[in-house]
Amino acid sequence: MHDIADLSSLLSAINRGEENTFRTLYDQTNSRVFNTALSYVRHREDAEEITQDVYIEVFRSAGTFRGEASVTTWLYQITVRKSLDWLRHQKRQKRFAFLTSLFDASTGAVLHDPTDFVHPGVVLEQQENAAILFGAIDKLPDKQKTAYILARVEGLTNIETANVLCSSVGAVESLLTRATENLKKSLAVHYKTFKQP
Amino acid sequence: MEPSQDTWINAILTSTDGLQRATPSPFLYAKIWNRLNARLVDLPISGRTVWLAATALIVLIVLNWTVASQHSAATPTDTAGLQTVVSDMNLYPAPHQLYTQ
Repeated sequence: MHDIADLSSLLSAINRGEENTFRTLYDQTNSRVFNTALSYVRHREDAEEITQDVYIEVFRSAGTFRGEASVTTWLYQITVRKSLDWLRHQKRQKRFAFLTSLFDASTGAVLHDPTDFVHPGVVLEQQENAAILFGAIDKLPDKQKTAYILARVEGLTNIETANVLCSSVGAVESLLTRATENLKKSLAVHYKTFKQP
Repeated sequence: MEPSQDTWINAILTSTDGLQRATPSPFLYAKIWNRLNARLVDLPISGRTVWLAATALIVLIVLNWTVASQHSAATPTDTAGLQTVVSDMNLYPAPHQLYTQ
């Protein structure tokens, strides 16, 4: 994670309304926020919307940051909350699928549902596999999904993930074990369906 | 689990190893700053203000209802008093009275 002292001092300047400092914080952290959001929503434009919401909240509530956690932890917490809110909003929209033309009439699935999502940071030969993995991650319960994305996709340590989730390292390890088991089950079903017709 | 299936699942699970962070659109910061400026112009209404307004409205409705119910309870007494005055002073209107007189 970034050096905490520097980013904390940036926040106090942002609280005074200094745009240059806000820009500096954005430049240093935007890829973390954007990538985390992208892992959740699997759609570039949606991830950019979430990134906007995150930085607007950062600007407006910079004064409330008390320094109990690092700034990057705080940013990840906001990003995770906004991304999960976004997913819940999408689910609510699906419930009213019959009222709008945004959804497929036969299945009720969102027409722009990113079933073939390709993460732009994945190397070319792994893109097909990564798309399957992100599809399986999407089916995990929220806490397992968050732990897996932060630790396995974002590459945070278990301690950093625990800080973001406000839980213990043991709880994170347990979440990761269950997430991996569930992913294996989900992928086994996928294997039987698509690899062995 | 069959060996080939196991291998395939492990390949899927490790497919994000060495993932490079993607960058958002170069115009994203400008969008954020524009949204912030737009929000700074609009005066935000706090939740406290909304609750205060709702409470004031409820108090107003309760007070109106109390006054109205007291007024309707007092009406029969007033009507009886008026009837007494009308009968004592013989204030009945004459039938077919011409109002032009």
